[in-house]
Amino acid sequence: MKGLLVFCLLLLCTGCWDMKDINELAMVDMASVDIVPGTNRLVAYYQVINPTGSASRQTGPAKASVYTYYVSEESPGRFNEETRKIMSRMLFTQHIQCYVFTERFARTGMVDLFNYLELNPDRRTNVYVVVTDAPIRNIMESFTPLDRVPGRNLRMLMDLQAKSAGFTRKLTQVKDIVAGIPLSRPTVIPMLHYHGKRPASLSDRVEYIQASDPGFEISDGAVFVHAKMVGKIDQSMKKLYFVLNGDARKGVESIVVNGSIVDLELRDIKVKRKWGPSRLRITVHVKLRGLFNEQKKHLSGRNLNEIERSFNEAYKKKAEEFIRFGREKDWDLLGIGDVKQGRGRWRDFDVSIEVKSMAVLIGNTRTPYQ
Amino acid sequence: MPQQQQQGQDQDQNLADRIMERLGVSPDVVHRHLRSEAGFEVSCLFLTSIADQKLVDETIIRPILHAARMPAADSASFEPFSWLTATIFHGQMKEKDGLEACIGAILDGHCLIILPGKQQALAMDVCKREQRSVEEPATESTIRGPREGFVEDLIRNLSLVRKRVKSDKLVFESMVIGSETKTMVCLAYMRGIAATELVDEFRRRLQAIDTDSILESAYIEEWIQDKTLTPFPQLIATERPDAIAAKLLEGQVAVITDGTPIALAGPTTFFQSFAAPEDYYQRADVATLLRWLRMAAFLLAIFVPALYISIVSFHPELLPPLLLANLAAQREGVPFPAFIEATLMMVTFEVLREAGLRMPRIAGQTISIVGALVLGQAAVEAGIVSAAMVIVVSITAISNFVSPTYSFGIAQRIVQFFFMTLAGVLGLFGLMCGVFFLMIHLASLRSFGVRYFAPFAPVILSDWKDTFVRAPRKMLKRRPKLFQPEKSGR
Amino acid sequence: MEKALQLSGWQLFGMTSAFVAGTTFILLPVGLISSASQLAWLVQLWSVLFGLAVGGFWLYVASRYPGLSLVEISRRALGKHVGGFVSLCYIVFFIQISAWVTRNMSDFMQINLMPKTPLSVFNILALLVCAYAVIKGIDTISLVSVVLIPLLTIAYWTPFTVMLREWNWNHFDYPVNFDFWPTLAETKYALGFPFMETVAFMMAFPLVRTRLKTAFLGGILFMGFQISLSIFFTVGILGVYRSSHLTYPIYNIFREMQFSTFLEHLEAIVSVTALMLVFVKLSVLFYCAVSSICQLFAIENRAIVAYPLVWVISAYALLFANIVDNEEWVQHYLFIYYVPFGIGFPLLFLIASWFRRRSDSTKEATA
Repeated sequence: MKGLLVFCLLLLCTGCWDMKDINELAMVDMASVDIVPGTNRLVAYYQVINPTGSASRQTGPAKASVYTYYVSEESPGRFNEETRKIMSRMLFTQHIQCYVFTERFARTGMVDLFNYLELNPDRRTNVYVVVTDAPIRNIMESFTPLDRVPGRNLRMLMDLQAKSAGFTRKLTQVKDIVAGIPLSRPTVIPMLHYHGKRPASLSDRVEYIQASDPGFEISDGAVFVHAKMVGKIDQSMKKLYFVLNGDARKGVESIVVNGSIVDLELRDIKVKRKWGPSRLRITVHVKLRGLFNEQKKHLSGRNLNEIERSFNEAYKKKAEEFIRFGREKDWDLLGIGDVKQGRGRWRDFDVSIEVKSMAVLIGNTRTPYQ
Repeated sequence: MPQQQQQGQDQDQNLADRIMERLGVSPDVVHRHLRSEAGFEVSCLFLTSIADQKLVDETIIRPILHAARMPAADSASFEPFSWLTATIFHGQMKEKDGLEACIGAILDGHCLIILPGKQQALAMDVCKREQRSVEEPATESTIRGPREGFVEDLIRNLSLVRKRVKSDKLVFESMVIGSETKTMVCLAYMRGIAATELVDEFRRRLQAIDTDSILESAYIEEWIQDKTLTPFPQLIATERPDAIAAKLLEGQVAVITDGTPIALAGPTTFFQSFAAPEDYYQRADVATLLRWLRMAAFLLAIFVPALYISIVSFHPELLPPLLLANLAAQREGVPFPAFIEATLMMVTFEVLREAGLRMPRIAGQTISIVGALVLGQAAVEAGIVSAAMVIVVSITAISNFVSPTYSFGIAQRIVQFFFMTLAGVLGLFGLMCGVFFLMIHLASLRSFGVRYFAPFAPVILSDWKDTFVRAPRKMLKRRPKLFQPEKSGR
Repeated sequence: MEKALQLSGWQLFGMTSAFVAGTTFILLPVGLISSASQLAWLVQLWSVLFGLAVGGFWLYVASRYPGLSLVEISRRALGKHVGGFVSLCYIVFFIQISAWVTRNMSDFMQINLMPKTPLSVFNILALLVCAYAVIKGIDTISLVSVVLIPLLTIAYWTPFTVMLREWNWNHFDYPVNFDFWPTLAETKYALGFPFMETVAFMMAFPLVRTRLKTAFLGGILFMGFQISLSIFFTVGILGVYRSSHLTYPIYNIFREMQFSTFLEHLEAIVSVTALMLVFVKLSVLFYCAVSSICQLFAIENRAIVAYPLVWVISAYALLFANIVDNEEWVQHYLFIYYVPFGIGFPLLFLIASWFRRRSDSTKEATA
């Protein structure tokens, strides 16, 4: 007992190696990596939360919710060291909400960076990731309205998209790219676009009523093969990619029935794959809900059948186009090469699509106003 | 013959004088020579401070003085003792032999009648039953349930228990402990229900007490508990006779001490500290929820400050980012690390609590006002502590008082400070070591041979229905196995 | 009212389970998954079978020497000097394993949670707490393990359950050439770790009066199965590719668990809580070392042995320079090193008991 007491006192004298007071931390909210063109030099941007500017109850005079620091180094392992030259607080990366990579950096291949992220226990790989085609300073030096912390803003935006696309998991995370390294199926990461020429870098930004320009937009997709960006796909392709791979279970489509536009919400999308020796049959089961109907006539069973049939055809056509697009680009977008039937010979597979839909909800009006 | 009488008077003088010598010059010692109308002479000794003067006058002195018929003192058939027994109007009369017995009796509130020439005395119990009336227990109040609490008088306390358990199985064994205080201590148990070994163990430990004084039951508790080096109470202390009765009926043993309203019962376990007597006077579901609430309060009390410290100073990643930013904003400008901040606040709170306890009731108001200021707004606004810390300390402080057993609440506080220190030094790892240490400690404790952590470890499933829940009465047909009762059915 | 020290079946069960789980869930998955890919859980099941067989063997050996602990058996079987030497070997063995367990624990803490705190602080604090447990005795340790097992099982499986939404059956379709025998040969350390370490329980067998076999084998089965299941889940959630590259794949599952949007990162709490199992294992091993020393040299007070041993073990734990050294040693030499202790010596005891019986019966026959 006496020994224990002595030990406790000793602990008190020497302890606290890992003590880090929360006021000594620079909480990084969003980080981005860019590359200096023509060199191997990486530029890392850290967007650090300013506690007094972002807390719900403001205590200080500071208005800015975040500050962006950037450092430039040859290899990622030294970023931390570099930040100590310019930041007064210790870099704290556990709460990064979102990683942003520039397109030019993503195209050079990012395996080394991901190795760095996985190696360090204070970096996380279940963090959202986007690729941007805008100049990185525009992204990293802009304030955002509504959610005043940009990283959180992006994250909530993507959460919302994942929810409306019926994802059971998060939209995209760093670990999706990592897990995709050995696979034949490319990983698709959302793209972040920026409206505007210059960054909205004054905190006055949030005083303006105009919120979408300058502003962020997440749409389209960057295609990654072995952690290297190889191309882009547009928003509708990206949606199909998620649907046909079984991630997305919801969506919105427009079709033309009898020469009029009908907008439909897709629900409970179920994708079944049936493998033959060298053929793949994909069956898509969808439940439909009407969102907008341009046909000025009473909704009858027959008409609903028409809607269903034209949806089936239209969707099938789209999916076939998607498959053709993948072949053209030499991307195994359906991941055929990752199952044992198709390993190494996904191009030889004959893929056929069948869409079966059922209209279940039509909304509040059966007969539209003429 | 006169010589003989002389000698007798000497002896008489001797006994009475020797008693007077021993008792000294205390103003409350009364020594009267009584001479009856018939000329028969006796000495009467008692202590006015503890004897009932009126009772002595009415039942002893008057009958002797007014004894109408008096056989001749020198007649052969004269038996002074039987004469006195016939004369004095008193129910309890004992013969005391020798000086020590006589002094013991007189200190016990007896009135001594010493016959001339005898070394014996007649002792009548004329003890003044001066006591406060039975009141509601101050420390253990209940909403529903009896309002009676023990008082300082042993006999009264026994009656309070006896009144509740009208059974011939109820046994009170009395013994006198303390070479100077000669305190009467009563061992109570239900014969045929309490395990014989348990009763024997209690008796053995009580008899082994070697001390000069027992002024409160805490003295006894310290003497008979299994382990001294632990903050946890190994005997339940209560001033509720209904609680004692319930425990007796479960096969436990109680120790009731003269001079204090606090009775002891044992063996007890860790989980009994969460059971209030009131649990049994309420609906089973309500009682169960309340029990869970108390357990949750215990966990809150020991973990909240420690977790707060370790999260804020070691593992900030555990907090959601917005909350973290909020906390950081609050702590901007607070000069102390979280551990110091927490210790400061907790100690301040303890000081306030102690002051509130010791202060005269009238001044209590001041304490609460000052306390609210110190622990609240002012400290936050002065930038000495953060608002979150005030919340943490308040939650903890309130939770400390939830336990129905007061001494358990104190143990809880000690554990709390222990955990806080560990968390302040090594974060969650330190806290985890503390938890493991505490578990080992609790599992190693025993209370009169019963595992302190039972019925959780070792697992006694059948006892869980009156530990983690309070099952409806209809399901509590058997006594807890924990105390290994002689008869398990109720 | 003191009764002779005795353990119930449940206590042995809890202790065995905690012991088997011990450091296994920290260390084992990555090696198994990188050797056997998606079939790692099968390998684990196979080693559970082996564990059961070996456990049964020890129980049989112990039943030949009723009421005797490992040290006493060895002295009874092999005589005072040889037996004493074998006991000494076992003592060193127990101390060694305790040191490794301590080191694994502190490595885990340092790599994942507190990178700046020196290893020896973790070691000494953990060992001191365990020394307290050792002094309180094996019944206390086992009682605590009975309490911990259900709580920790819940704490351990919660992240897996939450992470089920990341489940992907395709992970089991990882392209791999699975050769049965080479894989088994490569993963033979899984047989030794933890299933040959359980030989330590031979110190506790004589204390258990009821349901000894069920409790011991049940504990091995219960926890071995859970580890196998958690490897299965790890593959399903993280995939073969990622989990074979990470140092602590299961910790990564804890890390990536998002309990709700409010509580995003609970890994520190979950993993620190799971470390309690390591504490139980450490306490058991420590107890075995201490009580063998006490039995061998007839020392009454365990505290005299336990506190000095804290320093020995904590120093010994620093022997490996880093976790890579440690893992390579485990993969190459561990099984061979464990064989004499797990199988060799017990076999020797068994043979000795046969000889003894034969000589007894011949004596009887001649008489």
